[in-house]
Amino acid sequence: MAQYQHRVFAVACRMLGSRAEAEEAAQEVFLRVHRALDGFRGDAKRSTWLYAITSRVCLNRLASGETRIARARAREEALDALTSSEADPAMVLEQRELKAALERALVELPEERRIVVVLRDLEGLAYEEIAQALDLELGTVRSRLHRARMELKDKVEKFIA
Amino acid sequence: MTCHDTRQLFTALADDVLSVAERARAQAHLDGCADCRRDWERFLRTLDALHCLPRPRAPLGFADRVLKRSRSRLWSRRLLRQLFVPLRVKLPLEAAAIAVISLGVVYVVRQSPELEHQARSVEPRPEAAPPAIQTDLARPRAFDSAPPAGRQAVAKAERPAPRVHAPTESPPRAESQPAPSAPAREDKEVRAAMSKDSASRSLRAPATASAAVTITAQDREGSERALAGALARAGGVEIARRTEGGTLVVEAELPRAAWTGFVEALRRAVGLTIDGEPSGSGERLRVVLRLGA
Repeated sequence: MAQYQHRVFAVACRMLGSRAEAEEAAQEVFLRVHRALDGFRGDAKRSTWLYAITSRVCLNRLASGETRIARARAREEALDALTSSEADPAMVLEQRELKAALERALVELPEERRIVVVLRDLEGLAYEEIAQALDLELGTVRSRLHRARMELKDKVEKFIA
Repeated sequence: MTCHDTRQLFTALADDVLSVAERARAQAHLDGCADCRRDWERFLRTLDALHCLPRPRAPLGFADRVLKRSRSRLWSRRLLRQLFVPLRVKLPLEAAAIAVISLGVVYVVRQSPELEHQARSVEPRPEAAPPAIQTDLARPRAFDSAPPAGRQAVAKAERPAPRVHAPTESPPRAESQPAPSAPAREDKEVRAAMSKDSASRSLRAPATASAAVTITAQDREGSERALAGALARAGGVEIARRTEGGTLVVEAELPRAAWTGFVEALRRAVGLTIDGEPSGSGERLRVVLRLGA
């Protein structure tokens, strides 16, 4: 568990936009893993299996009303951070603005695209692993990833010199 | 290749999953189109920034908290599962087990010798409410009214020792007494059998029919032996035994048909006086014998 705790927590945090929410989700993930460990047949890599459970837990939580509220709050926090950084241009670096904008854009992505970009660009999974974890076709993974990346680029390009 | 087609390949181009031919065509378009090239550079910078985003780390103690919660949840789940799963099978079995255990407890309590003994001790003794004693009206008035010391004096003066009352009849009974053999051993066996059976006999309700019969014996010890032997031979049993002011009072029960033989046996063994004859219906006869010192 120690080996995977940061990975699971990172995905949950990126997906849910809140550390507290992410901690709860990660706990749920490991409890599910603990219960289902006997049933793990080793067809997939253990990390892929773990990401699959994490993705499912996060998407389920995002579908609930409480998480929607948390997500809206996270968006506001990201926006506030961006606005405050713009208020003092002398102290702000371009990279920092870009990072803040990217964080905000990531939170605003639709969930089914966000999970793909998180698994690919933040966790480094291969297309096939993402398809297996999310139970999607390979083409669907590619198209969702492309749309998500283009959307992120469109939102942050004004911060790129 | 159009600008739109090229931009559609940005992701595949960045991840290097295009074929050599597709990659060459896309690269050729980018080389010739400034807008697409600028867009491609922004795309790459966005990806670089995305890859550089710091990975959130799990808080300290996270793993311990998860393990603790996991253990407690697993323990409770395992217990519940062992108790109730599968519900259709285990629930009726548990209900049946509870019923069987309850019945067993009730049975044991009812069969417990201690509780039976308690019930016996709570039951009123024959002297507490004995119609037999109340019908003991044939005794001399002086004996009744005298205080214990005076009563003994009167008893000595009259030499009356044992008095026997056969005032009541008890319900018919099926059991019989074993026949005695030698006189000495016979006495012991008969006494043991009589005293063993006396407790259960005392629980029986007294008969309604009554008669006042008094048997007066000369010798107490001889009377006791003779009484035990005669009672055993008559098929009777001793019900209760007590002492009232130096007088031994023995309650016994015998078949009514054996009454004459019982009296004759006592008369031959010890001198005795019989006040009246038993009356009333019934196969069993209850007598009260008073043996003086």
